[in-house]
Amino acid sequence: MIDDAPAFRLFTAFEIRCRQFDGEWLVYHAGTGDTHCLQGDTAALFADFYNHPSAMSAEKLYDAYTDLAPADIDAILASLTERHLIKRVEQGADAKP
Amino acid sequence: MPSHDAARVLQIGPFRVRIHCDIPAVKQGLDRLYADYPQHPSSVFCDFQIRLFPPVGIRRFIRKQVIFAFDQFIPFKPLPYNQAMPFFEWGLNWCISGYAHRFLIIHAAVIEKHGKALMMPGTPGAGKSTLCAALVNQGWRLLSDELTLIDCQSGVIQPVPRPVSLKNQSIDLIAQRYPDAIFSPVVNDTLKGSVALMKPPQAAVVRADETAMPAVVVFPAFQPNAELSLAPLSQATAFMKLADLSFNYSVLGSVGFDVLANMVADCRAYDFAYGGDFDQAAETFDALLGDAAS
Repeated sequence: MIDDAPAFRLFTAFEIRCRQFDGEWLVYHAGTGDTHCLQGDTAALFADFYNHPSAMSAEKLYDAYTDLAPADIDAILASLTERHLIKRVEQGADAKP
Repeated sequence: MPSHDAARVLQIGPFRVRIHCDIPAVKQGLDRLYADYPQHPSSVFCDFQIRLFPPVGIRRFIRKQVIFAFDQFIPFKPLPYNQAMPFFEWGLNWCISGYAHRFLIIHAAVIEKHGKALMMPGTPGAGKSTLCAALVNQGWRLLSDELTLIDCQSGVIQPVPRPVSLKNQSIDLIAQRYPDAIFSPVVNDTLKGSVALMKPPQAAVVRADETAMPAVVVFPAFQPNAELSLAPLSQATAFMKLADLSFNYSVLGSVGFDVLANMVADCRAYDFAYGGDFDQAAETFDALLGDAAS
Protein backbone atom coordinates (compact mmCIF):
# COMPACT_ATOMS: atom_id res chain seq x y z
CA MET A 1 0.00 0.00 0.00
CA ILE A 2 1.11 3.53 -0.65
CA ASP A 3 1.09 4.55 3.01
CA ASP A 4 3.59 1.85 3.83
CA ALA A 5 5.81 2.46 0.85
CA PRO A 6 9.24 3.96 1.29
CA ALA A 7 10.07 7.08 -0.67
CA PHE A 8 10.00 6.39 -4.37
CA ARG A 9 10.10 8.10 -7.72
CA LEU A 10 6.74 9.43 -8.88
CA PHE A 11 7.68 10.94 -12.20
CA THR A 12 10.32 10.33 -14.77
CA ALA A 13 11.04 13.89 -15.83
CA PHE A 14 12.14 14.77 -12.34
CA GLU A 15 11.93 13.25 -8.91
CA ILE A 16 9.76 13.80 -5.89
CA ARG A 17 10.44 11.69 -2.85
CA CYS A 18 7.90 11.54 -0.06
CA ARG A 19 7.70 10.19 3.47
CA GLN A 20 4.69 10.30 5.74
CA PHE A 21 5.01 10.51 9.52
CA ASP A 22 1.76 10.53 11.51
CA GLY A 23 -0.14 12.53 8.93
CA GLU A 24 2.69 14.94 8.17
CA TRP A 25 4.45 14.68 4.84
CA LEU A 26 8.04 15.34 3.95
CA VAL A 27 8.51 16.02 0.27
CA TYR A 28 11.88 16.29 -1.45
CA HIS A 29 11.67 17.94 -4.85
CA ALA A 30 14.72 17.09 -6.91
CA GLY A 31 13.86 19.74 -9.50
CA THR A 32 14.45 22.56 -7.05
CA GLY A 33 16.43 20.67 -4.40
CA ASP A 34 14.06 21.99 -1.74
CA THR A 35 12.49 19.91 1.00
CA HIS A 36 8.97 20.65 2.16
CA CYS A 37 7.17 19.71 5.35
CA LEU A 38 3.43 19.51 4.85
CA GLN A 39 1.17 19.67 7.88
CA GLY A 40 -2.55 19.93 8.61
CA ASP A 41 -4.81 20.74 5.67
CA THR A 42 -1.88 20.96 3.32
CA ALA A 43 -0.78 17.48 4.24
CA ALA A 44 -4.28 16.23 3.54
CA LEU A 45 -4.28 18.03 0.21
CA PHE A 46 -1.00 16.47 -0.74
CA ALA A 47 -2.17 13.08 0.47
CA ASP A 48 -5.09 13.35 -1.94
CA PHE A 49 -2.72 14.32 -4.68
CA TYR A 50 -0.36 11.52 -3.75
CA ASN A 51 -2.89 8.78 -3.12
CA HIS A 52 -4.60 8.89 -6.48
CA PRO A 53 -7.76 6.76 -6.30
CA SER A 54 -6.51 4.33 -8.87
CA ALA A 55 -3.01 4.20 -7.49
CA MET A 56 -2.02 1.08 -5.66
CA SER A 57 1.59 1.04 -6.75
CA ALA A 58 4.33 3.34 -7.89
CA GLU A 59 3.82 2.07 -11.43
CA LYS A 60 0.16 3.00 -11.43
CA LEU A 61 0.95 6.43 -10.04
CA TYR A 62 3.44 6.86 -12.81
CA ASP A 63 0.82 5.85 -15.39
CA ALA A 64 -1.70 8.20 -13.87
CA TYR A 65 0.55 11.22 -13.99
CA THR A 66 2.60 10.81 -17.11
CA ASP A 67 0.72 13.69 -18.74
CA LEU A 68 1.39 16.05 -15.85
CA ALA A 69 4.22 18.37 -16.73
CA PRO A 70 7.00 18.94 -14.21
CA ALA A 71 6.11 22.62 -14.23
CA ASP A 72 2.68 21.74 -12.88
CA ILE A 73 4.19 20.05 -9.87
CA ASP A 74 6.54 22.98 -9.40
CA ALA A 75 3.54 25.28 -9.47
CA ILE A 76 1.69 23.27 -6.85
CA LEU A 77 4.60 23.27 -4.43
CA ALA A 78 5.50 26.89 -5.14
CA SER A 79 1.92 27.94 -4.51
CA LEU A 80 1.81 26.09 -1.21
CA THR A 81 5.11 27.65 -0.20
CA GLU A 82 4.09 31.19 -1.12
CA ARG A 83 0.95 30.80 0.93
CA HIS A 84 3.15 29.80 3.89
CA LEU A 85 1.28 26.54 4.16
CA ILE A 86 4.44 24.51 4.23
CA LYS A 87 7.87 24.75 5.75
CA ARG A 88 10.83 24.47 3.50
CA VAL A 89 14.53 23.71 3.65
CA GLU A 90 16.05 25.42 0.64
CA GLN A 91 18.75 23.83 -1.45
CA GLY A 92 22.14 25.15 -0.53
CA ALA A 93 21.04 26.26 2.92
CA ASP A 94 23.52 23.92 4.57
CA ALA A 95 24.92 24.94 7.91
CA LYS A 96 28.52 26.14 8.15
CA PRO A 97 31.03 24.80 10.67
CA MET B 1 54.50 27.36 2.22
CA PRO B 2 56.95 25.44 4.42
CA SER B 3 57.37 21.80 3.45
CA HIS B 4 60.13 20.61 5.75
CA ASP B 5 58.29 20.92 9.06
CA ALA B 6 57.58 17.85 11.15
CA ALA B 7 54.54 15.76 10.22
CA ARG B 8 52.50 13.35 12.24
CA VAL B 9 49.63 11.21 11.00
CA LEU B 10 46.76 10.56 13.37
CA GLN B 11 43.81 8.23 13.00
CA ILE B 12 40.88 10.38 14.07
CA GLY B 13 37.70 8.33 13.84
CA PRO B 14 37.45 7.11 10.24
CA PHE B 15 39.93 9.70 8.97
CA ARG B 16 43.68 9.79 8.64
CA VAL B 17 44.95 13.30 9.17
CA ARG B 18 48.48 14.39 8.36
CA ILE B 19 49.48 17.43 10.37
CA HIS B 20 52.49 19.55 9.53
CA CYS B 21 53.20 22.04 12.24
CA ASP B 22 56.17 23.35 14.18
CA ILE B 23 54.18 25.75 16.32
CA PRO B 24 54.85 24.82 19.97
CA ALA B 25 51.26 25.36 21.14
CA VAL B 26 49.96 22.95 18.50
CA LYS B 27 52.64 20.35 19.16
CA GLN B 28 51.92 20.50 22.88
CA GLY B 29 48.17 20.45 22.23
CA LEU B 30 48.49 17.34 20.07
CA ASP B 31 50.75 15.67 22.64
CA ARG B 32 48.28 16.41 25.41
CA LEU B 33 44.89 15.99 23.77
CA TYR B 34 45.64 13.41 21.08
CA ALA B 35 47.98 11.18 23.09
CA ASP B 36 45.61 8.19 22.85
CA TYR B 37 45.04 8.33 19.09
CA PRO B 38 46.67 5.75 16.81
CA GLN B 39 49.55 7.15 14.80
CA HIS B 40 50.63 6.05 11.33
CA PRO B 41 53.90 6.37 9.44
CA SER B 42 54.09 9.70 7.68
CA SER B 43 54.16 8.02 4.25
CA VAL B 44 50.62 6.52 4.39
CA PHE B 45 47.71 7.83 2.37
CA CYS B 46 45.77 10.47 4.30
CA ASP B 47 42.28 11.88 3.94
CA PHE B 48 43.28 15.34 5.06
CA GLN B 49 46.64 17.05 4.90
CA ILE B 50 46.80 20.06 7.16
CA ARG B 51 49.51 22.64 7.72
CA LEU B 52 49.65 25.38 10.31
CA PHE B 53 52.44 27.91 9.92
CA PRO B 54 53.26 31.56 10.47
CA PRO B 55 53.04 33.86 7.46
CA VAL B 56 56.14 35.33 5.89
CA GLY B 57 56.85 38.99 6.40
CA ILE B 58 56.14 41.31 9.26
CA ARG B 59 53.31 39.17 10.70
CA ARG B 60 55.94 36.62 11.59
CA PHE B 61 57.21 38.99 14.25
CA ILE B 62 54.68 41.72 15.04
CA ARG B 63 51.19 40.69 16.16
CA LYS B 64 52.08 37.20 15.03
CA GLN B 65 49.57 35.20 13.07
CA VAL B 66 49.00 31.61 11.99
CA ILE B 67 47.80 30.27 8.64
CA PHE B 68 45.74 27.10 8.18
CA ALA B 69 46.25 25.23 4.91
CA PHE B 70 44.36 22.19 3.66
CA ASP B 71 46.39 20.44 0.93
CA GLN B 72 47.70 23.47 -0.95
CA PHE B 73 44.58 25.52 -0.27
CA ILE B 74 44.29 28.29 2.33
CA PRO B 75 40.58 28.55 3.07
CA PHE B 76 40.65 31.11 5.90
CA LYS B 77 42.23 34.41 6.77
CA PRO B 78 45.10 34.09 9.29
CA LEU B 79 44.28 34.15 12.98
CA PRO B 80 46.34 35.40 15.92
CA TYR B 81 49.24 33.07 16.63
CA ASN B 82 48.01 32.12 20.11
CA GLN B 83 44.83 30.65 18.53
CA ALA B 84 46.75 28.02 16.55
CA MET B 85 45.40 24.98 18.44
CA PRO B 86 41.73 25.95 18.31
CA PHE B 87 42.36 26.96 14.68
CA PHE B 88 43.45 23.38 13.99
CA GLU B 89 40.20 22.06 15.51
CA TRP B 90 37.99 24.53 13.64
CA GLY B 91 39.84 23.86 10.41
CA LEU B 92 39.50 20.10 10.78
CA ASN B 93 35.76 20.57 11.35
CA TRP B 94 35.66 22.47 8.08
CA CYS B 95 37.58 19.73 6.25
CA ILE B 96 35.30 16.95 7.47
CA SER B 97 32.04 18.80 6.94
CA GLY B 98 33.09 19.93 3.49
CA TYR B 99 34.50 16.71 2.11
CA ALA B 100 33.27 13.59 3.95
CA HIS B 101 30.14 13.14 1.88
CA ARG B 102 29.77 9.42 2.41
CA PHE B 103 28.20 10.61 5.64
CA LEU B 104 25.23 12.86 6.25
CA ILE B 105 26.80 15.34 8.66
CA ILE B 106 24.73 17.09 11.31
CA HIS B 107 25.92 19.90 13.58
CA ALA B 108 25.36 17.90 16.73
CA ALA B 109 27.09 16.41 19.73
CA VAL B 110 26.44 12.70 20.02
CA ILE B 111 26.98 10.28 22.88
CA GLU B 112 26.29 6.58 23.35
CA LYS B 113 25.20 4.03 25.90
CA HIS B 114 24.34 0.37 25.36
CA GLY B 115 24.93 0.74 21.62
CA LYS B 116 22.33 3.48 21.27
CA ALA B 117 23.20 7.01 20.32
CA LEU B 118 21.69 10.19 21.67
CA MET B 119 22.16 13.21 19.44
CA MET B 120 22.18 16.81 20.64
CA PRO B 121 21.93 19.05 17.58
CA GLY B 122 22.13 22.78 17.98
CA THR B 123 23.50 26.06 16.85
CA PRO B 124 26.43 27.58 18.77
CA GLY B 125 25.36 28.62 22.25
CA ALA B 126 22.66 25.97 22.63
CA GLY B 127 24.77 24.27 25.27
CA LYS B 128 25.43 21.02 23.45
CA SER B 129 29.18 20.88 24.08
CA THR B 130 28.81 21.69 27.78
CA LEU B 131 26.17 19.04 28.21
CA CYS B 132 28.23 16.62 26.15
CA ALA B 133 31.35 17.26 28.29
CA ALA B 134 29.38 16.67 31.48
CA LEU B 135 27.81 13.46 30.26
CA VAL B 136 31.02 11.91 28.95
CA ASN B 137 32.52 12.58 32.39
CA GLN B 138 29.59 10.63 33.82
CA GLY B 139 30.23 7.51 31.77
CA TRP B 140 28.58 8.14 28.44
CA ARG B 141 30.77 7.36 25.43
CA LEU B 142 31.77 10.36 23.33
CA LEU B 143 31.09 9.87 19.63
CA SER B 144 31.54 13.54 18.75
CA ASP B 145 30.93 16.92 20.33
CA GLU B 146 30.46 18.75 17.03
CA LEU B 147 29.91 16.56 13.96
CA THR B 148 27.46 13.67 13.90
CA LEU B 149 28.38 11.41 10.99
CA ILE B 150 25.51 9.25 9.73
CA ASP B 151 26.73 6.56 7.33
CA CYS B 152 24.73 6.89 4.11
CA GLN B 153 24.91 3.16 3.41
CA SER B 154 24.04 1.68 6.79
CA GLY B 155 22.41 4.54 8.69
CA VAL B 156 24.61 3.98 11.74
CA ILE B 157 26.51 6.76 13.46
CA GLN B 158 30.26 6.69 12.88
CA PRO B 159 32.21 8.00 15.87
CA VAL B 160 34.75 10.74 15.34
CA PRO B 161 35.75 11.45 18.95
CA ARG B 162 37.84 14.60 19.31
CA PRO B 163 38.58 17.12 22.04
CA VAL B 164 35.43 18.81 23.34
CA SER B 165 35.47 22.54 22.65
CA LEU B 166 34.27 24.53 25.65
CA LYS B 167 33.70 28.25 25.75
CA ASN B 168 33.61 30.99 28.36
CA GLN B 169 31.83 30.05 31.63
CA SER B 170 31.52 26.41 30.54
CA ILE B 171 35.28 25.96 30.94
CA ASP B 172 35.37 26.62 34.69
CA LEU B 173 32.03 24.92 35.18
CA ILE B 174 33.24 21.61 33.74
CA ALA B 175 36.76 21.93 35.19
CA GLN B 176 35.43 22.42 38.73
CA ARG B 177 32.77 19.76 38.45
CA TYR B 178 35.09 17.15 36.94
CA PRO B 179 38.61 17.82 38.32
CA ASP B 180 40.07 14.74 36.60
CA ALA B 181 39.27 16.11 33.15
CA ILE B 182 42.30 17.25 31.16
CA PHE B 183 42.21 20.59 29.36
CA SER B 184 44.29 22.62 26.96
CA PRO B 185 45.33 26.08 28.09
CA VAL B 186 42.51 28.63 27.75
CA VAL B 187 42.80 30.80 24.65
CA ASN B 188 41.16 34.20 25.12
CA ASP B 189 39.76 36.73 22.69
CA THR B 190 38.82 34.36 19.90
CA LEU B 191 35.75 35.00 17.77
CA LYS B 192 33.93 32.60 20.10
CA GLY B 193 35.27 34.20 23.27
CA SER B 194 37.55 32.19 25.56
CA VAL B 195 38.06 28.63 24.37
CA ALA B 196 39.54 25.50 25.96
CA LEU B 197 39.63 21.95 24.65
CA MET B 198 38.84 18.99 26.90
CA LYS B 199 40.69 15.76 26.16
CA PRO B 200 38.31 12.98 25.14
CA PRO B 201 38.22 9.95 27.44
CA GLN B 202 40.65 7.25 26.34
CA ALA B 203 37.84 4.69 26.04
CA ALA B 204 36.09 6.86 23.45
CA VAL B 205 39.23 6.97 21.32
CA VAL B 206 39.94 3.26 21.67
CA ARG B 207 36.35 2.42 20.64
CA ALA B 208 36.24 4.83 17.71
CA ASP B 209 35.49 1.96 15.31
CA GLU B 210 32.33 0.94 17.19
CA THR B 211 29.35 2.48 15.49
CA ALA B 212 26.03 3.15 17.23
CA MET B 213 22.39 3.12 16.23
CA PRO B 214 20.63 6.50 16.37
CA ALA B 215 17.87 6.25 18.99
CA VAL B 216 17.09 9.64 20.54
CA VAL B 217 17.45 13.24 19.34
CA VAL B 218 17.25 16.09 21.84
CA PHE B 219 17.55 19.73 20.80
CA PRO B 220 19.14 21.34 23.85
CA ALA B 221 18.47 24.92 24.89
CA PHE B 222 20.44 26.11 27.90
CA GLN B 223 18.55 28.73 29.92
CA PRO B 224 20.17 29.79 33.20
CA ASN B 225 18.23 28.49 36.21
CA ALA B 226 15.46 27.09 34.02
CA GLU B 227 13.50 24.04 35.10
CA LEU B 228 14.29 21.00 33.01
CA SER B 229 11.62 20.43 30.37
CA LEU B 230 11.21 17.89 27.64
CA ALA B 231 8.74 18.44 24.78
CA PRO B 232 8.19 15.69 22.21
CA LEU B 233 8.59 16.66 18.57
CA SER B 234 6.90 15.09 15.59
CA GLN B 235 9.24 13.16 13.35
CA ALA B 236 8.58 15.51 10.44
CA THR B 237 9.45 18.53 12.58
CA ALA B 238 12.60 16.81 13.83
CA PHE B 239 13.54 16.06 10.22
CA MET B 240 13.26 19.71 9.22
CA LYS B 241 15.28 20.90 12.21
CA LEU B 242 17.99 18.33 11.51
CA ALA B 243 18.10 19.23 7.82
CA ASP B 244 18.59 22.86 8.82
CA LEU B 245 21.51 21.84 11.01
CA SER B 246 23.14 19.59 8.44
CA PHE B 247 26.37 20.60 6.74
CA ASN B 248 25.79 18.62 3.56
CA TYR B 249 22.09 17.78 3.25
CA SER B 250 21.81 19.76 0.01
CA VAL B 251 24.99 18.24 -1.37
CA LEU B 252 23.62 14.73 -0.92
CA GLY B 253 20.27 15.51 -2.57
CA SER B 254 17.78 12.64 -2.50
CA VAL B 255 20.32 10.42 -0.70
CA GLY B 256 20.35 12.91 2.16
CA PHE B 257 16.57 12.94 2.23
CA ASP B 258 16.39 9.15 2.45
CA VAL B 259 19.13 8.83 5.06
CA LEU B 260 17.58 11.47 7.29
CA ALA B 261 14.03 10.18 6.83
CA ASN B 262 15.15 6.65 7.71
CA MET B 263 16.92 7.96 10.78
CA VAL B 264 14.03 9.98 12.18
CA ALA B 265 11.72 7.04 11.53
CA ASP B 266 13.76 5.08 14.08
CA CYS B 267 14.23 7.89 16.61
CA ARG B 268 12.29 9.82 19.18
CA ALA B 269 12.89 13.55 19.22
CA TYR B 270 12.45 16.24 21.85
CA ASP B 271 13.05 19.89 22.58
CA PHE B 272 15.06 19.94 25.78
CA ALA B 273 15.46 23.01 27.99
CA TYR B 274 17.75 22.80 30.99
CA GLY B 275 19.25 25.13 33.52
CA GLY B 276 22.59 23.43 34.12
CA ASP B 277 21.62 20.49 36.33
CA PHE B 278 23.75 17.80 34.71
CA ASP B 279 22.63 15.00 37.06
CA GLN B 280 19.02 15.63 36.21
CA ALA B 281 19.86 15.76 32.52
CA ALA B 282 21.75 12.46 32.78
CA GLU B 283 18.81 10.79 34.53
CA THR B 284 16.45 12.09 31.87
CA PHE B 285 18.64 10.84 29.06
CA ASP B 286 19.04 7.44 30.71
CA ALA B 287 15.27 7.16 30.84
CA LEU B 288 14.93 8.24 27.20
CA LEU B 289 17.39 5.60 26.05
CA GLY B 290 15.64 3.03 28.21
CA ASP B 291 12.34 3.92 26.55
CA ALA B 292 13.97 3.78 23.14
CA ALA B 293 15.23 0.28 23.88
CA SER B 294 11.77 -0.97 24.80
